[in-house]
Amino acid sequence: MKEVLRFQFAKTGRAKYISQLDLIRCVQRAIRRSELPVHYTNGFHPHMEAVFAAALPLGMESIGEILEVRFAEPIEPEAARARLQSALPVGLELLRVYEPVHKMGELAYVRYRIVLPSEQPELLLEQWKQFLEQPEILVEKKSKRGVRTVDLLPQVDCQSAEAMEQAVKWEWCLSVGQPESVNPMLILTAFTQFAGISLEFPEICRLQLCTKEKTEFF
Amino acid sequence: MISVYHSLKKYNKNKGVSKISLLSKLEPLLLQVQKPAQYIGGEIGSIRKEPESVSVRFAFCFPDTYEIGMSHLGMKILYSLTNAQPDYACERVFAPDTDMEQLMRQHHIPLFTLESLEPVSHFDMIGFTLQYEMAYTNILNMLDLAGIPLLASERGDSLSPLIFAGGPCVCNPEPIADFFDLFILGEGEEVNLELMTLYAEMKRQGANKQMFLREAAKIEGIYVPSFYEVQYHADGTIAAVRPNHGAPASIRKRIISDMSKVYYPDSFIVPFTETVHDRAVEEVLRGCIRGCRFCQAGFIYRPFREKSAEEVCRQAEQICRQTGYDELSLSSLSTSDHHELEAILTELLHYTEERRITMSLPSLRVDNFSEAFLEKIKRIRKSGLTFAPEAGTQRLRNVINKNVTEEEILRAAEIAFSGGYYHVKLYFMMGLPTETLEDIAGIAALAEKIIALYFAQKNRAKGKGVEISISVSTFVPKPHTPFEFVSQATAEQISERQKHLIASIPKQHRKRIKVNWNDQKISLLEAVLARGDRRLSRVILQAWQNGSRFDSWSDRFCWENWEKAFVACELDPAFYANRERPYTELLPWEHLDYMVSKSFLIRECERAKQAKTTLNCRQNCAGCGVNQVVGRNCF
Repeated sequence: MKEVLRFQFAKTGRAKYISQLDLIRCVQRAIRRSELPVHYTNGFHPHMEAVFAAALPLGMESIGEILEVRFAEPIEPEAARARLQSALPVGLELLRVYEPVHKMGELAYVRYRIVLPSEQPELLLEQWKQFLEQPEILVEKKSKRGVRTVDLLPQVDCQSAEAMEQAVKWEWCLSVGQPESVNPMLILTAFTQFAGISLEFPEICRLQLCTKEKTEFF
Repeated sequence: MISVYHSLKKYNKNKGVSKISLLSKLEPLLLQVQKPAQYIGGEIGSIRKEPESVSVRFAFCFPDTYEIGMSHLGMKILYSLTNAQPDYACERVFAPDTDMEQLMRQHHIPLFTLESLEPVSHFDMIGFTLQYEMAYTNILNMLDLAGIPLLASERGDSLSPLIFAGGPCVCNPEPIADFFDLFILGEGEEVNLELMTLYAEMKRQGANKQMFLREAAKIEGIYVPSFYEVQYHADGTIAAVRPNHGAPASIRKRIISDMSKVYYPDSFIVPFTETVHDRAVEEVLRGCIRGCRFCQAGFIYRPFREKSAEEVCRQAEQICRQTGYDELSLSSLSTSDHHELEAILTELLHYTEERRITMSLPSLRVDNFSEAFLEKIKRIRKSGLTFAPEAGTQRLRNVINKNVTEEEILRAAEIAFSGGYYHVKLYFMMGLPTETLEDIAGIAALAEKIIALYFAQKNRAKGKGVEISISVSTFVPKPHTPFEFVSQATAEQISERQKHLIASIPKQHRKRIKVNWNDQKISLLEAVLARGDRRLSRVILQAWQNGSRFDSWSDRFCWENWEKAFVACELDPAFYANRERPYTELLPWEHLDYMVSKSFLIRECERAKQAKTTLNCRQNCAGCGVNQVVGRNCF
């Protein structure tokens, strides 16, 4: 029986087109529908304490998102999970529930699975090797402070790469949050430019949120 | 410590939805458009039925974008009502925004429904709701995107798809008559199901469209435009409207007799993206007792019918529970006219405050705006206040029968200021019948008085300056109102009056009073389409071909497209908008019976010219004729 619970959830299918802002609203409404005794902040505009560990970019799927909710009273985790699940729309699925282990600030990496459609996957894989053999991979990164040039090479931790039928599949572990967040689209854009191909609708799925040590973040 | 409830492997194998072919064409495009969630459905409360499990599939089209259409209560009601029938399915369709339309055309993606992501052309019935005239080109654009011939006469004789429309604009559907197989007049809760029952039956029998339309025309409230031949005089006015195929000479709108017993959804679809009115809505009454002479809604939704306080509270709480919304709106043409409103608010506030739900009450009238009342609203919400005096002088307010006095407006403003409000929004119309420059100067004078009142207030909000926004729209005469006969002010007249209004605001107040008005040409076109006849179908078609869509959005409206269309069709907008129509003229919508008699409208028009007011329906029956039709007195 705990007051703060973390829900690991999947966002798949049509739900991947729900933006982060819309997702916050959607989950808050689901919590209200579930009638779970959620904790509200004090103050003039009280709001419920329901936060996400890391924002998921529009169009990406995930099976490793984390939602943390503070309840007004101790609550049985599985009962809370089941009740909240029944109030969620299709495509959002609560996979596990547990008490927080790591601090939110300990989140440092995200493991992604990327599937890029290709007529010649073996060739693309060869080009990927060459891509990583470059002395540096300079890309322009836009942020609030303006455009800067960043070297992506040290950021790309490619944990696997394999040719499939009509596609290439990778697993990358990329940093998230401070000091640098790397969106897999940034790498894909640089790579497809390098390979001289157009970037066809890739499938990107977050598999796991990780700590500094690249172990699972709970 | 960690318990695994689901096998993660399942997600690694199953990559989302794969069975729908349209989805695979759609997906690569979705990240290229604004707010992709509006094209993908799947919201809580949406209902998808297997096509094989139902006998009739109905694609409900709203001819504007998702964010506007999803705010519309009528669609929510009819969507739920249809899907509550096990044998019928209803799916939603909205106008794709320009960016999406372009991609759909480029990639040959037909217009699709949000529930099944299936082409609209696969559906049995395709129904549009007509909320405003300026959406007419969107209808054509949607039919075209669906791959359906635009003209009813070119669609052949197979039963499906049946293209029809309902909603307030159907009170004069003549300008769009050529595009529709039939129209539904009045409230849809009963007649929609009667129509679907007939459809299901005739579909089983293998009937064609002509056979179906003949039977449908026998249902009260169903208007089949192709069964009426319109003859014109040489001057362009209508000589006769002759029914054939056994259709009735006059078609009467449908109404629901008991608001407390009529179907109301126990669930709403909760959108992912933000919509214009993103909240729980409870309809508290239909019709309006006020009889403001410019207001079409005030006449076409008669008679006045309240929902019982008990039902209002029960339904409102149910919708809040099911949607998880944190805002509840009590909706109607004039919510404060519900005779049990105090009781409703007392009970509902009990429920909403406990659950941190804010409550909003649109369309409050200033004349029954009490301190105790404001106190109730204040407990939940503080923002600007909006009043609609509509006209600047008492004389002109009497002309339009907006029975609100300056005293009442000022008193309401005073209460508001002492309650901490400092921003007041005022709505006016310009170009009203009998209007003079004196009436225009009256708008500025009223704003000045409100400012003076603010500075005289001891309890005013500290450190804030008063702000008055004046919103002035050009008056558009509408069918089935006492002003259906009058001419709209010309662009020259309006611009002269606009200049006069600006000149009437004293220099020292120019920063406190903000004035804005709408596009003159949009008002002109609205006037043409509202009171037009069948010959306008060609103009609308050409304007669409010239590229017009989203005409109600001032940034997309293009008058040149319309101007060219009028010239090509040899029709003059002024004939429809700026011509005074004699009482004896046969109006294009006169065969459509909205229960309010023409003699009453003439009487009211005459009283308007004499600046005589008419008491509201609760005070005294003005004899509009509705009670004769319904067979009982309204009060």
